[in-house]
Amino acid sequence: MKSSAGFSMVELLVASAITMAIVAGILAVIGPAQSMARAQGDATDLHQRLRAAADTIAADVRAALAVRPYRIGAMRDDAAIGVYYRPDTLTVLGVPSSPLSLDADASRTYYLKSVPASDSFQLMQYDGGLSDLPLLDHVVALSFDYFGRAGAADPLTRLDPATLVDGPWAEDAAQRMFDTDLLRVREVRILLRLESTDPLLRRLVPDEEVVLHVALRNLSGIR
Amino acid sequence: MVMMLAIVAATLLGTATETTIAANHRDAIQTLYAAEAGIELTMSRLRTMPDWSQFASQTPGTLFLGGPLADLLQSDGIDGRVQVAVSVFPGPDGAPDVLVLQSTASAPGGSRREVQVTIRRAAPAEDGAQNIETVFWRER
Repeated sequence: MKSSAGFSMVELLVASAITMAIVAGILAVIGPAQSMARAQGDATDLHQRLRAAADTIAADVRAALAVRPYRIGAMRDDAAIGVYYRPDTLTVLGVPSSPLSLDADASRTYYLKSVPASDSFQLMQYDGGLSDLPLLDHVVALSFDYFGRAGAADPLTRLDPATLVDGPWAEDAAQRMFDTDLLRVREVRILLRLESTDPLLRRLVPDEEVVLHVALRNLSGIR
Repeated sequence: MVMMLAIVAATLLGTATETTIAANHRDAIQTLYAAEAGIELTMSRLRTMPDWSQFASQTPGTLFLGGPLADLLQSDGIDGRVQVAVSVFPGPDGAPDVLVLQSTASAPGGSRREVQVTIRRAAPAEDGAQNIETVFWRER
């Protein structure tokens, strides 16, 4: 007599196959969804880092009494080794040390520092003294271009870097030599490009770049 | 299903957060430019005033202009909710041709920026127009 209780082997195999197909389908949907959820958080962080860094640099450029395309300060001063131009370095002079105060001797230098471990750069902020601190990790590119006018009525044009290192030279209030073509600078173009902090997510979160044109407001101050 | 709902909820929350942050950032920039517009508007009006001595004795400052920036500039292209107030103070050394302008702009979201500018009357332009130069500019 043939028993009708239980399942046959064929039924079990079919049921297992259906279950596996459903589970595989769910996993196939959940996996990318989890990646997208992680990527979205990473993209938000990327945007916020970009905003914070761009705002910090732009605020200093707006308030600066003068700009220099090289590092100035007590440590590793570029002028001391004869370097007067670096495309990824900007020093702002006369930045306020506190809101609404004027400190003509204060300076801040923004530059890139290579980080071989992550094959990227750090955005550094140097205060001209002993404080040389990282502002931001995973920076891909940073560059500064300088715009000025040939004559009072001429349009703003990009100043060729070669003209910023060929003299004539002058001394500022702190007895530092600078190329007088820097007196023509009216606007600084800042390009900042960041990458995701997670290498695994860079396929989903592409690099973000911001370009700012910032006009110097304190043109009548010390230069 | 529960997992999918959690992921969707997290994604929506992240999107909302990013949108809020971006809006706050936009407001902050907008209020800074509004504060600067208030300064420019004040300077353009001061250019037409041959005598600034009325401001020299006002130690607490004089409210020079205030209200929605769109009304002040008579422009429809500006967010009507952005408010600007500009006060004029005597210069730090009491010189009659030096004034300090303080412009405060605020947006409905709570964003508030302040710009302070010290100006000095300069020699008139070649066409005789009154000239003003900026001596010192600061924001906060």
